[in-house]
Amino acid sequence: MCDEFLAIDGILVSVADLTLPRARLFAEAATSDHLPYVSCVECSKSGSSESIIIDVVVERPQRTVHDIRATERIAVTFEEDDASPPEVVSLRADFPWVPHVNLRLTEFPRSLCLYDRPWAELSARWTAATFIERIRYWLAATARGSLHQDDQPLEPLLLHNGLRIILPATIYNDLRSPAPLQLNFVLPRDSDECRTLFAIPASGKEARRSGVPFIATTLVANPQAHGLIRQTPGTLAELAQFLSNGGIDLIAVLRERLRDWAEPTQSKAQLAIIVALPLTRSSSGAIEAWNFWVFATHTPIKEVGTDIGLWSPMGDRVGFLMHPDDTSKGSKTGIDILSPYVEFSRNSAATANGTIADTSKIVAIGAGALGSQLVITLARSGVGEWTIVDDDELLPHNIARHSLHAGYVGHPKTTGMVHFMDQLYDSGAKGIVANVLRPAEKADELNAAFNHADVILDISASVTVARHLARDVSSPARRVSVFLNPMGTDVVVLAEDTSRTVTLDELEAQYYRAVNNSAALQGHLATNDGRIRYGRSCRDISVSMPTYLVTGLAAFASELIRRSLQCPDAAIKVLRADKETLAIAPVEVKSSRVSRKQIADWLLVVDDALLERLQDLRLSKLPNETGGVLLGVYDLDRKTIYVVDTIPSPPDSEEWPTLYIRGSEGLLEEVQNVAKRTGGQLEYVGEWHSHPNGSATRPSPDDIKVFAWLTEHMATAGLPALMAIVGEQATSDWYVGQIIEASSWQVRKQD
Amino acid sequence: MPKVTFFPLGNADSTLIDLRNGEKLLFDYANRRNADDKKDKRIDLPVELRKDLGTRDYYDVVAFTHLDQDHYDGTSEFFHLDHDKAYQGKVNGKSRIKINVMWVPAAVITEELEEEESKVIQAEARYRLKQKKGIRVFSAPNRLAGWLKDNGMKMSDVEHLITDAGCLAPEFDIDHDGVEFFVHSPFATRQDDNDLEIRNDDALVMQATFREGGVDTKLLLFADICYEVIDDIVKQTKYHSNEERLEWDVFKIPHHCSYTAIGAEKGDNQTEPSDNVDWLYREQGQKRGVLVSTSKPIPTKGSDEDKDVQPPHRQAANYYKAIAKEHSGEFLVTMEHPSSTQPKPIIIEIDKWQATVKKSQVFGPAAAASVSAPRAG
Repeated sequence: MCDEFLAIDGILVSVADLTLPRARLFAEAATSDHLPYVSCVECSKSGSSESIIIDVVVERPQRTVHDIRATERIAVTFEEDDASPPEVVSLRADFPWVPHVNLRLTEFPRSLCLYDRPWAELSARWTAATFIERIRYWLAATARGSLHQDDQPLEPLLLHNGLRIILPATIYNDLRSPAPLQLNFVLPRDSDECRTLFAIPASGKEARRSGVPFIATTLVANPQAHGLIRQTPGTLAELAQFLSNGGIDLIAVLRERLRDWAEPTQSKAQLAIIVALPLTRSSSGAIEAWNFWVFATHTPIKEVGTDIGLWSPMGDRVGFLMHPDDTSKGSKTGIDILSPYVEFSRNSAATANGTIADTSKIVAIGAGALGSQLVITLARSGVGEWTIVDDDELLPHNIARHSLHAGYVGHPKTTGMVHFMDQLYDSGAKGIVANVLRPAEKADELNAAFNHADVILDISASVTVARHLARDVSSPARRVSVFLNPMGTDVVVLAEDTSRTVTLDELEAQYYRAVNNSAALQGHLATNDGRIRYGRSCRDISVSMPTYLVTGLAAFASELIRRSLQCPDAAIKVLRADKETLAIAPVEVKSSRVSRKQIADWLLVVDDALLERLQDLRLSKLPNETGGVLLGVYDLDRKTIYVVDTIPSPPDSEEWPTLYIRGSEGLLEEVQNVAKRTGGQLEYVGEWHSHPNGSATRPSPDDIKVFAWLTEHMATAGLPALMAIVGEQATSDWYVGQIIEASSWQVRKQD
Repeated sequence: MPKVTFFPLGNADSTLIDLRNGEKLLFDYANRRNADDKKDKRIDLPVELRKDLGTRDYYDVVAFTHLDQDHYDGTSEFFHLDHDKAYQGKVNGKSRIKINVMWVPAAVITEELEEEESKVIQAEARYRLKQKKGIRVFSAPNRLAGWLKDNGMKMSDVEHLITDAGCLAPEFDIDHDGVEFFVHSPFATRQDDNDLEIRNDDALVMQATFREGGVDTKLLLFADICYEVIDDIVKQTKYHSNEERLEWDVFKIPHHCSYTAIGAEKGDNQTEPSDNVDWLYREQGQKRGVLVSTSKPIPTKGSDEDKDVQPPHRQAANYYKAIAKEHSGEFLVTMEHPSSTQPKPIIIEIDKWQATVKKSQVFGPAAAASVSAPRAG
C-alpha cells in the first residue's frame, strides 16, 4: 500500500521499554503469533504517554459504505493516569469522515470512538486482545455502515471545569432564530462549591433574581457533527475553528448578530453562545432530539465586538468599522464551556417515561393518599392538565401515605397539590377547595371545570361521589374511577368509554358481578372484621395499610389510567397484590353493554352479559321452564335498579313444560354469601323464569299471581317487585313495580 | 445469509456452499488428512463436515466435478450410496451422509475407469440415472446417447436429468433460492473431440450467481481445467454473447495453482497467460474480487518445493497476485489462511455488500472451548 501515513509525536522505543502496564500488554498482544490479523509496526513514548502503532487486517466486504481499506494503520496511545480510555487514531492521511469519529480541534488524525459506555465500566474487563478486536470490529462495521445503532445515544460532553448551566425549557422554541435571548446566569447559592448556574430569561417572573447578565444566541450545527470534545476551545477563535467543522462560520454570524447589541445597556452583558446539534437517525431523517453546547465569554459584548473586528470602543459606545477587521478573529476572547441541562418540562417528563406528553384536561375528585400519589405520578410522567377538587386539609397522620409533606399540614390538600405540582414544571395545575357533593359558592367554578374536562377522575374513595359524578354532573367527559379494596391490597380502575355508552355506575354493578363470580377475585371485598358492611363507604381506607401498598398500587394504577385514556373502550381492571410474595397480578374483567328503561318511577338497567346468561339457562332446561333469583344493586336515591346476576333454580325447584316453581333449598344462604363476597353490594332484587318455545313472554295468570306475592314481600322493605320472563328468540320481558307495562329486550348479536 | 467455505486439504478440493434458505451443496470431497500424523495441518474433512451438518444427514447437492482422486478421495467412507448396501448404514459408528441430488459431468457416466473408488462413484451415478432420480448429468444430450442405448434406456426417459452447457441447473432459481448455477463445461466440442476422455478437461465448470438484497455476487468454480479449455470456454461464451457469465467476484482458480491453467510456459517469475485467460482474469474480475487457491502453501523462491513439478507453482501464484492487486482484491491460499502454521477453512459470506472474507481471531475461552484439551494425567 502506498498510502501516506501520518506520524505521531514521540521517540521510538522497543516493546521492552514500555512502562505503562496496558501499553505493554497491548504491544505484546500485537506482536503475538496467535493473532494473525494484527501486527505491530512500532512503539513510541512522548512525555507520560506511550503509543503503539499497529496494522490491522479488516474483515471488510467487497463493496463498502465507507472507504475502509483491507489493512488499516492505527495508533493507540495510553496515558499514565487511567482516567480515560486509550486514544485510537487512524494514521491514514485520507481516512474518511464517518460516524463515531471524535470531533477534535484538528481534523486529522481521525480519532475513533470505540465505546458507548464510560471507561470506568469497561476497564475492569479490558484485555489487549479484546481491545484489538474492538478496533477491528469498529473498522469492519464502519465499512458496512452498520456501526451506528439506531437507538444509540451520543456521548456526554467531557468537561474540564465542570460548570453546569440549566437552560429554560423554552430554549427549544426558536433555535434557528437569530433573535437574542436575554438571560441572567444565576448561581442558586453563594457557596464556592456551587457548580450549577441557572439561565433565567431576563423577562421572566424570576428576573428579579440577581446574577450575571448574558445575552445568549443560538446556532444550529450540522447533524454530522457529533462526538467527544477532548480539548476545550479556550478562545473564541479556537471555538470558531472547531465549529467550522460543524458548518458554522462563527465569526461571521457573531459580526452580524452583535450589531443589534451595540447599545451600552446590552453591550455590558457577556456573550453566551448556545450551539444546538440536531440528532437524526440518518442524514435525511427527521430531527429527533437536540444536544446543546454552551460557551460563555469572559468579557462583555463590547470587548467581544472589538475582538472580532466589528467595532472599536468609543467611550460608552462603539464605533462600527466600515469593513470588518479580518485580523481580529476572537483570539483574545477567553471562553468557558458550560455543560448544559434543560429545565424539566412536561415533554421531558414524557420522554423520560418513554411516552409522549398528554395534555388531557383531567378533573380529579379527591386528593387523599391514593389520589395524591396517582396524580403526582401521572404529572411526573407528563400526563394531564389537572384540576384537583377536595375540601379536606392535610393533617399529620396523612403524611405516612400522602404525596405531600409536613410543610403542607393545615393547608387544603388541593392547594398543597397544586403548589407541589408547580414545583415539578409549569404544569398548569389548578385547585378547587370544595366538596363536590355540596360545592356551595364553588358550584359555578366546578361546573365550568367539568364541562371543559376530557376526563373526570374519581379518586374520592366514595361510592356516593362516584355515582354523583356519573349520574348528576352534566359533562361529556368520560368518567374514570379508581379505588382500593377494603383490605388495601387491590386497586380497581373503572373507565367509561369515550362516548359514555356505559356509565360508571353501570360498570360498578358489573364489577360486583365479577367479584361475586370470579375465583380470581376471591376475598377481594372481604373486610378485616368479617362483618358485612351495608354502609356505602366500603371503599374508605380505615384499615391500617402499609405505605408501600398505597404507593405501589397507586403507581400501577396510574399506568392503568394512562393506558385506559389511550383506548376509547370501557374497561374494568383489577390489580391484586399478595402481601406474602409481593406479587402483583391483574384480573381481567369484561365490561358489557347495557340496556336501560324507565318504568314508572324506576330506572331499570340490565346488561348483555346477564341477558345472555338467562338465555343460556333457559335453553339448558328446555322443554321445561326454569328460573331463579335476580341479583343486583339498588340506588334508592335515584330509584335505579342495576340487575347484573342470577342465582339459578335451587335444587328443590319444580321445572315443568308449563309451570315453574322456584324452590328455596340453600337459597337464603347463597344470597347471604353473595352479600358477603360483594361487601353487601349485590342483593336479591327479584325473580325470573322462562317460557318454553311456542309461548310468548307475556305473563300468564300464574305469573301475575307470583308478581303479586313478590310485591307484597318487597313492599315491606320499601322496594319494588321485579320480575323477568325469558322467552324464545332471545327475548325477555321485564316488569318493575307493576306487571302492566314491560320492558322487552333481546340479546344482542356478538359484534 | 449464503456462504462459501473452502477447506484446507492440501492440493485437494472440497467446497461447501450454504444457501440463505438453509440448503447445502458440496462441490467435491477429499479426505486427505493422515489421522496418525499430528503434524498434518490439513483439516479432518469428515469431522468438520459432520460438525457443520449437526443433526442433518444429507446434502441437497453433491457435485463431483471430475474423477481425480483429490476431488473424491474417501467418498465411499462418508456418503450413503444408493446402489449398494455396502455403502449404507453407519461407518465408524457415524451415520453416512445422504446425497439428494448428485451432479456429475457426462464423463462420470461414460468414462473407462481404473481406480476402485472412482468406479464406486460411477456405479452410483449410473444407478441413479437408471432409477431416473437423484442425479443430474451435465452434458450435451447426444453425448450420452450411445451409453443409454447400450444400457437399454430411452433418451426421453432421462432428458429431464440432463443439462447442457449454456443452461442453468434447474434445481435452483435465483428469485426463489437466491442463487443460480450456469454451466460452462462440459460442452459439446470438448467432449466429442476426445476419443480418450481427458478427465480434467471434461470437468464440471460452473458460475454461481448469488443475489442478496438485489445485489449479485458471482462465484466461478473452475475444477482442474487447463488453459486450453479456458480458452475454449471464453470463446464459446463470447460467441453466445454471454460474457457476464464469466464475471467473477470470487474465483476458485483451477488446478491447485498450476501454471498449466494460465499459459503454456511456467515462466521464471510470473506465468504469461494466454490472451483469453488474461481477459477472463483482468476484464471479468469485479472490484475487490477474491481468488482462492485450493492448494498447499505457495513455495518460496529457490526452495525444494519451488522445484517441484507438481502445483502449486510460485509463478502462477505471482500472476494471480498481480490480478488481485489490479482489482484491489485478495489472493488466498487454503493452506495459508489465516497462516500456514494453523490453516483454517476460508469462509466467504455473501450479502448485499457482496463477498466478505471472514477474518475472525479466536482466542481465550472461545479458543480453548473449540478444541480438545491436551491429555491430563
